[in-house]
Amino acid sequence: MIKYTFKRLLAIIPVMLLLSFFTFIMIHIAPGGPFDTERKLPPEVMKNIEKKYHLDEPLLKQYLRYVGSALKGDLGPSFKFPGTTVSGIIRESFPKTMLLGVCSLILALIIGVTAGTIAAYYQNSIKDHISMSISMIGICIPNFVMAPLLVLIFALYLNILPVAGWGKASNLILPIFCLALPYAAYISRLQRGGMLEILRQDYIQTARAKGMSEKRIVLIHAFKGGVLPVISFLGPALSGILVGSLVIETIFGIPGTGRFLVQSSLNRDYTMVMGMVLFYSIIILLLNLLVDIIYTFLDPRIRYE
Amino acid sequence: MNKSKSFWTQAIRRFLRNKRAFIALIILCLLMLASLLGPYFIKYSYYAQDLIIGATSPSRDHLLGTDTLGRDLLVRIMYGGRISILIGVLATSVALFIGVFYGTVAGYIGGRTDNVMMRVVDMLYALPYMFFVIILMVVFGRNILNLFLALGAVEWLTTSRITRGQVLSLKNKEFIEAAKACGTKPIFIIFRHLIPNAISPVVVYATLLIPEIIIFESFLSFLGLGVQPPMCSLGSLVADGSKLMELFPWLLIFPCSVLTLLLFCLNFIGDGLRDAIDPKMKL
Repeated sequence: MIKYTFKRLLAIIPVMLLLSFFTFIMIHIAPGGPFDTERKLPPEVMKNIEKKYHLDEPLLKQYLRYVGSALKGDLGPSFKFPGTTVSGIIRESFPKTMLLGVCSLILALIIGVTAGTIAAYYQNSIKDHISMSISMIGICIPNFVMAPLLVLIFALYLNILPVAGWGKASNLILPIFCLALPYAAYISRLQRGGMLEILRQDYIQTARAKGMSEKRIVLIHAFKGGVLPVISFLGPALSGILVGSLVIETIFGIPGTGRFLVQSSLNRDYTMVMGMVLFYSIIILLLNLLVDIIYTFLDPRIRYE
Repeated sequence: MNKSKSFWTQAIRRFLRNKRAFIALIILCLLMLASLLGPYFIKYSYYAQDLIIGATSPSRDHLLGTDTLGRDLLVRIMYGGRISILIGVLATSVALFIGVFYGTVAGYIGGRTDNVMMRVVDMLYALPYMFFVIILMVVFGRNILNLFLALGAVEWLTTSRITRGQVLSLKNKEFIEAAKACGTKPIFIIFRHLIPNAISPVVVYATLLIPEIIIFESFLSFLGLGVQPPMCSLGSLVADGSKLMELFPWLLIFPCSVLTLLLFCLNFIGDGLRDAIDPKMKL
């Protein structure tokens, strides 16, 4: 197990190197630069600025310099927001994004697993149909459609929740719900499918024959196997939620990390884009690893060598 | 050949018996027809502005109202629908093309090559590919062609996994051995024997991929990275509408409902196809 974890951690290194290289090259060959303004700067000034940020060196040298400092934890200064560093911006904004993401994931899990379990246990009953129809709605309505509609209803017409903003708990309700809904829907489908398969197994029959209470059969025996597909979906779900928060943060005016990514790539803010991509990728790679490890504990059939 | 034909006719019959999927198919056809032919029956164009009237609520002249620049919303939704469907279909084709080819090659060659190729897919899976689409769009310019190439280029992973799985289970079957024994060239075996037999789950996945890509595209357009004005897609219409929803709610509600309807239809059709072709399949 430890060996496996170590191997996976080692595998992250080449991935990150390749990734950073491609991103670096792509963002640098993009037309335009971070210091392009409406009025052209005098060439001497431009040269000085480029010199200060080493933009006049060959690309490969710049890249190596970047990797060198990134390894030391220094992601460089932001080109567009003078006086700030990329690490500083991430440190300040990411906790908000993470709070949003984790809350959404938990909400999605609670709704999805409950709905899926009920739907599977009462297969083909009215409860099943209702929860699966709601899950279809969740899958079909993208969160950037759901978000403005909910704002329209709850904030503008009913006036019970704030339109946008950050700081109060009530500000969190709509964004979390919008982010969680599609994943709750997907999770409920996975949970239903997983449970249905387990409920047909022989050992469930055996448990019934031995007179085990129905509650115990469903909640302990069937649930344990049924939840496995959901666990393996957690990695992709969390990365999807983190990416989805790009839009949700824009709609609800949340000062999280998501907004910076789009803005900085449009601004050609080289260091910001690199910092964001590297940071998000490493978070997601580590989360996926964590999910895989949790998986082995839950499903003894799986052994990584 | 006869046998495979009857498989598909059976599948089609099963599909048509599924009421939900069948109704969804009809609505989808109507939506497509409306967005393809509709603009020819309306005297406004999607870019013609009428700054004097500005944003008006639905009326007899403008059935769904106009936006702040006085452009007819109905026509714009039709064009948006065109773009969304077009990108959905084209990007899915790109994704299928890459995925099927990659998966077949990996599965057919097997061994070390297969191992390496699938490791690469695993690695790519773990990455936040949305970022790459954003960067690709910024680097190569924000136009429709780049949009569907970028979307197709990141969405092929699952297709390749499905195809590989199919090919692996097929390649040791007798008919492939027979073909090999006859001295058929590998390339011919792949295209003539393997792909046609491996394709059915891929078809199901493709129909479910289309709505996913439409959402993805709308997401990008919502962020201002997709289709550029004056052209519009359903996503950019939703984005525009959401900025003005306090004053002109119809600008938000109509594009949202059309987008949602479209996605509903595609998902129902996808589910119906899955049940018709392979009820045991997990997607």
